[in-house]
Amino acid sequence: MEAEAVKLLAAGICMGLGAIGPALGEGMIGARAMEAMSRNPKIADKIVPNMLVAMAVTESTGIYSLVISLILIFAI
Amino acid sequence: MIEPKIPNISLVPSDVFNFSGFSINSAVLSSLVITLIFLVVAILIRINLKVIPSKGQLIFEEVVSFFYNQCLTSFGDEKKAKRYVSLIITLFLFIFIANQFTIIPLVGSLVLDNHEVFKSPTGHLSQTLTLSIVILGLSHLIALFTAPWKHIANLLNLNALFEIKSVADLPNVFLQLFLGILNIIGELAKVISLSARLFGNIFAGEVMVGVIAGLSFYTMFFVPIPFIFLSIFSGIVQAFVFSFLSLSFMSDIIKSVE
Repeated sequence: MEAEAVKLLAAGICMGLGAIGPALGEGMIGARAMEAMSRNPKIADKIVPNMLVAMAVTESTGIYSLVISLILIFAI
Repeated sequence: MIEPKIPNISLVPSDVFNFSGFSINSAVLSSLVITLIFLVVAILIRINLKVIPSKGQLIFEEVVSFFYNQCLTSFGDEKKAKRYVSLIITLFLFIFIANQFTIIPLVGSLVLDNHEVFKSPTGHLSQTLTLSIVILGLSHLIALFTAPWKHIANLLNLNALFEIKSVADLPNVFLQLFLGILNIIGELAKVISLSARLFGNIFAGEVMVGVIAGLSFYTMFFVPIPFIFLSIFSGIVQAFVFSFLSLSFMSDIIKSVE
């Protein structure tokens, strides 16, 4: 295979595999937050910001793989 | 029939004009414009400040009190919360406007010599990297000025070196030093993850809308609308998340030296 093709393939595989973990993690966080909110609707306002921050932290591995695939496509 | 075209995606924003050797690119130009808008709105709000608030003042009061409460819970100190709340609100409002900047009609489609004039500045890594370096560098500097030795000891436990009494202590000391090096790497990783998160989200939103609009004639007009909504939503959430995470990093570092 040519180097260009390998680069594109690597970028695709990197993004696809890197998206699995954050997706599962964010789903778990969302599910638990929903559970907590339905159990105690009064503190829903307090849970949502914390949930978003936790999701953002979970997302960072996905973002790393996005950055790596951007580097693979554009920078190298 | 209009011929659809996938836009050429590039990480580097295009130069708009040269200013005596300085090349001003689209991201810098639009961040300057956003700063100008920001200043004008802030001065207008300040001039029209009343005890009985108008509608516009009410919105900003709501934003300020929300962030003030968050600062209060994470710093746990009224004086400190008042000191840092303005920085966090400025960060939030700037990123909020910057993320939605190209949504404003006509702004995103201005073209000069086949290059777009305005581009969302947060879709450019230099901007987000600057913001996160400023936030984390500032909090480290504040910590260094309040208690220099304590802050260094928090990062890299040098006290362990002076506590060596026998050879049996050596592995423990090496472990402490190794953990200290890991701490420093962790601080650097915070900068990268904070900046890459915002950049990745905004850039990915732009690319997604561009690719879908350029795919074929049938997806040019109505199909991108949900994706545009998604990118607006993620822009709001990312502005929120960036300011929240920088608040929690700042309060962690500043509270650790007390």
